[in-house]
Amino acid sequence: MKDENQLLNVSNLQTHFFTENGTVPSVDGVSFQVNKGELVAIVGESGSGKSVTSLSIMGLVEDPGKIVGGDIMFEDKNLATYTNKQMRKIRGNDIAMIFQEPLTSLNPVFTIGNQLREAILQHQNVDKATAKKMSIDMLTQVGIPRADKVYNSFPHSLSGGMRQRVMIAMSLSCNPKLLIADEPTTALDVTIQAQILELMKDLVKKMDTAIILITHDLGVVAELVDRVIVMYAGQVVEQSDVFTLFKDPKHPYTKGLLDSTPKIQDLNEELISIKGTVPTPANMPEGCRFHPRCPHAMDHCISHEPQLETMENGREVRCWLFDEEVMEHERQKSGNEGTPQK
Amino acid sequence: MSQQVTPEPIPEPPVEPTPESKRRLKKSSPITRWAKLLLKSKTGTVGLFIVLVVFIVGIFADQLAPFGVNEQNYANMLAPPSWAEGGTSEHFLGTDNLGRDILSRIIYGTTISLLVGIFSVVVAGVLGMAAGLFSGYYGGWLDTITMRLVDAFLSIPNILFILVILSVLNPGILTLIFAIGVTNWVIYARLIRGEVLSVKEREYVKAAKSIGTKNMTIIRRHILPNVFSTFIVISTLSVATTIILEASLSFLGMGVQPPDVSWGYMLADGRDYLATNWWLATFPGLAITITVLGIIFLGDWLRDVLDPRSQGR
Amino acid sequence: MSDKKVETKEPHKSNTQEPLLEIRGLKKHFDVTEGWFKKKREYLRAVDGIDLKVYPGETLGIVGESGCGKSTTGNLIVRLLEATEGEIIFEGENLTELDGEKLRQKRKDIQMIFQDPFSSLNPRMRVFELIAEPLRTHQTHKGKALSERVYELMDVVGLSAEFAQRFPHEFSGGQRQRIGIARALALNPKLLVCDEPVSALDVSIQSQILNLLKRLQEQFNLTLVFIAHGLPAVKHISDRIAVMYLGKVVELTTREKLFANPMHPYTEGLLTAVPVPDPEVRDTRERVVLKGDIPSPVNPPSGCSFHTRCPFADEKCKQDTPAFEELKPDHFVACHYPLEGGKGTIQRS
Ligand SMILES: Nc1ncnc2c1ncn2[C@@H]1O[C@H](COP(=O)(O)OP(=O)(O)O)[C@@H](O)[C@H]1O
Ligand SMILES: Nc1ncnc2c1ncn2[C@@H]1O[C@H](COP(=O)(O)OP(=O)(O)O)[C@@H](O)[C@H]1O
Ligand code: SF4
Ligand code: SF4
Ligand SMILES: [Mg+2]
Ligand SMILES: [Mg+2]
Repeated sequence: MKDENQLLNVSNLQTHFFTENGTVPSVDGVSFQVNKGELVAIVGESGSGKSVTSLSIMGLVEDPGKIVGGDIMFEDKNLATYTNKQMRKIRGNDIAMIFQEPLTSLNPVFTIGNQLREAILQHQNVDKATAKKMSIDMLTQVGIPRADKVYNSFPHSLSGGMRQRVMIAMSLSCNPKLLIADEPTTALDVTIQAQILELMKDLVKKMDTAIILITHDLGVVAELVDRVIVMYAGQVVEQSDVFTLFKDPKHPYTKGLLDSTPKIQDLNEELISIKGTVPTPANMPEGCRFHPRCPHAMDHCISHEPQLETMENGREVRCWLFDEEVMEHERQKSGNEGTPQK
Repeated sequence: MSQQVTPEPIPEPPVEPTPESKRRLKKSSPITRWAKLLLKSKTGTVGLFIVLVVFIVGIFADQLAPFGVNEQNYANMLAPPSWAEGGTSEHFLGTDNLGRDILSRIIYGTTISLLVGIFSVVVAGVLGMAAGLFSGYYGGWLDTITMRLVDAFLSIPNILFILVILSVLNPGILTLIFAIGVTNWVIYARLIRGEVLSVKEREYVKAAKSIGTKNMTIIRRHILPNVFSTFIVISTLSVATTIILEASLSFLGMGVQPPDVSWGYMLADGRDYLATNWWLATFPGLAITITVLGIIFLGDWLRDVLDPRSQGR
Repeated sequence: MSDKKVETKEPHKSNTQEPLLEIRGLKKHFDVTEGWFKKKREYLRAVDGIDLKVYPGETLGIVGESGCGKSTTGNLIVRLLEATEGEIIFEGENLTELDGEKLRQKRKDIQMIFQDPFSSLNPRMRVFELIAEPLRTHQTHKGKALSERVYELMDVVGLSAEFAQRFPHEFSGGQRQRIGIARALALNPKLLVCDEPVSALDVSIQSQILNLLKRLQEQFNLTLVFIAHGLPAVKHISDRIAVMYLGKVVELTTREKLFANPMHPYTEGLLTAVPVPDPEVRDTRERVVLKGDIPSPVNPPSGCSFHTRCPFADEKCKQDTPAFEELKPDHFVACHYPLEGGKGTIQRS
C-alpha cells in the first residue's frame, strides 16, 4: 500500500492527557496521509484536537499528554517511537511548525536577525556571514520591506503580520519537507490574513514543501489547499479533495461548518449555525459523537459509533447515513415518516 | 421597525449538565465542599492536622506542660532526652543549662510564637492589603505617596527598623507584634498593588464599571477576591519568616523578655550548646520547621479552595 | 440547523427621526510620552474626530482593522474613558458632562457587551451572581423578585436555569457570551454597545449569538452599536455601517449600499480580503490586497491617512485631507477619488 509519493502517514494516532480529573482522549484514533509537496488542511471547531494532532507529529506534546497509540510514519521513520533527542534532529530540518501567536514563539530578548541566523546555523553547515546573508534573503522573500533593518529589530517592535512573516521565514529557512501551520492567520486582521495567504501561495509555488494548514475557517481552506481533513471531537469525520468537499460535503458536520461560513458576496444569506457546542471529553456522547448536534441523527447513531469508511475517489466519511444496511433498516423502521435524505 | 417577529424559541438547547455537576448542585454546601477538597489533598490534611495540634498545644499549654516554664531541676542540668543515651525518664526532650524541661518550655513557647507570628502577620496584612488595594485601584497621588513610602521602608533594612522601634517603646510581646507588623506591611502593599494593577485592567472590572457599580463594591467584589490568593501566599510565608525574625530579635535581647519564652528565644539560647548538647536548639528548631510547613501546606490548600476551578474535582 | 431567516429591515428614516445617540467631533488622545523630561508630549490619536448618529431601534455597525479606535469609541460612549474633546449626546443630554450619581443612573440605559467572553466575567462569581450584579447595583429588584428576574434573563438568552450555580469556566465561549448578554439586558437598557461580541467565537457558533442579538433587539426594542473587525460579522445585523481607519470614519452608509457599492478604497480592500469559501474561484476572483500595515496613530500620515496603503493614492492625497462628505444620498465618504464617479474608478466584476 505504500505510495512512492507519500511523505507522512499518520495511522490510528491516539494522544491522551492524563489530568487530575481523569484521562482526556484529545486525539482518538486519527489517520491521514500527506504527499510530498501537498497542501492539506485540518479543519474543525476549537477543541476538536487539531493542535494536539500537530503537536504529536512534532513530538511536542507536553505533560500530562502522551501518545498512547498509533504510528506517525514520516518517510520511513516512525516518529511516534522517537525520543526527544531524535525528534530534535527532525524538527526544523525536516518538519517545521508555525503557531497562531507569533509573539510568543519568538524570544523577546534577541533580535529577529539573531534568532533567524541561529536557526540557520543550527541546521545548516554555513558560516556566520553566509547565515546572515541567507537570513536577510529569507526576510525579503517573505515580503518584509527593508529587511536589513528588520534584521536588527526586536520582535515586540513588529506588527502581528510582520511577526508571522518572520516566523514563516524562520520555519522555511532550512527547506523543511513538511510545514505545519497551526492557525497562522487567526490572530490577524482579514487584510493581513489576505497578505499572508498570498505569501504562502507564492512560496508553495517556489518551494517543494508540503503544508498542513490548521484552521477553523473554511474560507481560508478554500483559498489555499488541495485536500481537507475535517476533525470533530478528536476524530477524523471526513476527508476529501477540496473541490469535491465544497461542492458536495457528505458529513453533516462538514455541511454545518460550510453553511455557517459567511459568504461576503451574498448579502441576504441566512445566518446559520451548528446548534450546541463541541462536547468536552468529560461528557463525550455515546455512539456518533456528533449526534446531539446533528440534524440527521437517527436512533442508530445514538448507540452505535460509525467508522471512517472509504468512498469513491478515495474520500472518507464517518457517518451512518452512508451505510446502506443501516439506512435500509432505518427506512423500514420509520415507515412512511420522512426519512433523512442522503 | 414595525415588523412583527414572533420571538423564536431558544435556538439551542444548552449542553446537558454532566451527572457530576448535577450531583454538585444537590449538595453544594461550602463546608462539605471544603471538607471534600481537604480530604483530597494529602498535604492539606497534614497541614491542617499540624496547625490544629499546634493551636491546641498553644491554648492548653498550662495543662499540657509537665513542668513549669521556669521550674529548674538542679539535679539534672543539661540532661539529654529520655530516649537518648544518659537521659532521665522525667525529661522526654531533656533539660537545658539551667535544668529546665525542654518539652515544657517548647509547649509554653508555642503560645507566644503563635501570637507573635499570627498577629504581626494580621497587622502587616491588613495595613498592606489596604494600602495595596487603594493605591493600586485609585492610582494618582494616593499611589505616588504610598509607593514612595514603601520605597522608603524598603531602603532601610528590616531588622534595623524594628530595632529602632523596639528600643524606643517598651519591649514586650505587643511591641514586638506592632514593630514587625508595621515594618512588614510594605511587602504586602507592593505585591498586592502589582496584582491590583493587573486585575483592574481585566475586562470584568470594566464590565462592572459599565453597569454603574460603585468603586468600593468593585474593590470588594471583583478586586479583593482575585488578589486574595496572592495574599494567602505572602501570609503563609510571612508567618514562617516572622517566627524566625522573632527568634533573631530574641537572640539580640530585643524580643521576648524572660520569664516569657518563645521558640525563637530557646533557639537563640541553645545556640551556644549546639556542639556539646544538641537537644537545646534542635527541638525548638524542629517545632518551628514543622509548624511553618504545616502553615504552608494549609495555605496551599486554602488557595485551591478559593479557586472556583477546583470545584467538581 | 438553520436558526432563522433574517428579516430585511425597512430603511430607517434618518432624516425625520431624532437620533438616540449623537457623537460630535469626538476625540480621544492618549498621552504616550516616554520618559519624564521630554519637552514635547506625544499623543496617540486613538479616536480623532468622529461624528455619528444612531437612531432609535437601528443597528449601527462599526468596522475596521484592530487598532483603528473602535473599542475606544465604544468605551467613550459608555463612559469607561473620558473624551479628550467632543460631545456624546444621548437623549438630548451630553454624557461627557455627567458624573457621580447622575452618570451612574444613566449607565442603566447604556450597556456594553465585551469582546472576550473569557476575561469579561469574574471567574469567582457564579452565573446567578453575575447576572444579579447589575440588579443589585441599582437596587431594582430584591429577594424573590431578584431571583425571578435573573431566571427570566437566563431564559431570554437561552441558558437553562440549572446553570445558575455554575462558574464561568464551566462554559464554552458562546455560552459565556450569553451570560454577558443577560447581564447587559438586566437593566432594560435603551442602547447596547457590542464590542466584537463574536470575534472570539468559532464561526460555527457566531451565528447563534448574532441571531440571539437580533431577536433580543426586536423583542426589547434595543438600539445597537455593533463593533467588529471584519465585515462578515456586521453584515447581517447592521442597518448602517461606519468604516473606521486610524481613528476616523472614512465611509458611512446603509449596509446594502456599502456591500453593493463601496466607495472608499479601504472598504473595498476590507471586502475583498474576506476569503471566499469556494475553491473554484480562488485563482480567478478579483481582489485588492492592501499592502502593509495600519500606520502608527502617534504619527498618522499626512493628508489622507490611508495614502500609504491606497492603490489609487497620488500627490494630492498625500497633502490634502479629504473631507467626509455625503457624495450620494445617505452615503458619506472621505476620499478624493471615490470608487465609481471619481477618477479612481476601477472596473469591478
Ligand atoms: N495540556 C492539556 N491538558 C488537558 N487537556 C488538554 C491539554 N491540551 C489540550 N487538551 C484538550 O484536548 C482537546 C483538543 O485540544 P486542541 O487540540 O487544542 O483543539 P484545537 O486545536 O482543535 O482547538 C481539548 O478538549 C482540550 O481540552
Ligand atoms: N489606554 C490606552 N493607552 C494608550 N493607548 C491606547 C489605550 N487604549 C487604546 N490605545 C491605542 O489606541 C488605538 C486604538 O485602540 P482600540 O480602540 O482598542 O482599537 P480597536 O478596538 O479598533 O482595535 C490603538 O493604537 C491602541 O494601541
Ligand atoms: S452518524 Fe448519525 S449523528 Fe452522526 S453525523 Fe451521521 S447522521 Fe449525524
Ligand atoms: S484620498 Fe486618495 S489615498 Fe485616500 S483613499 Fe482616496 S484615493 Fe486613496
Ligand atoms: Mg488549536
Ligand atoms: Mg477592540
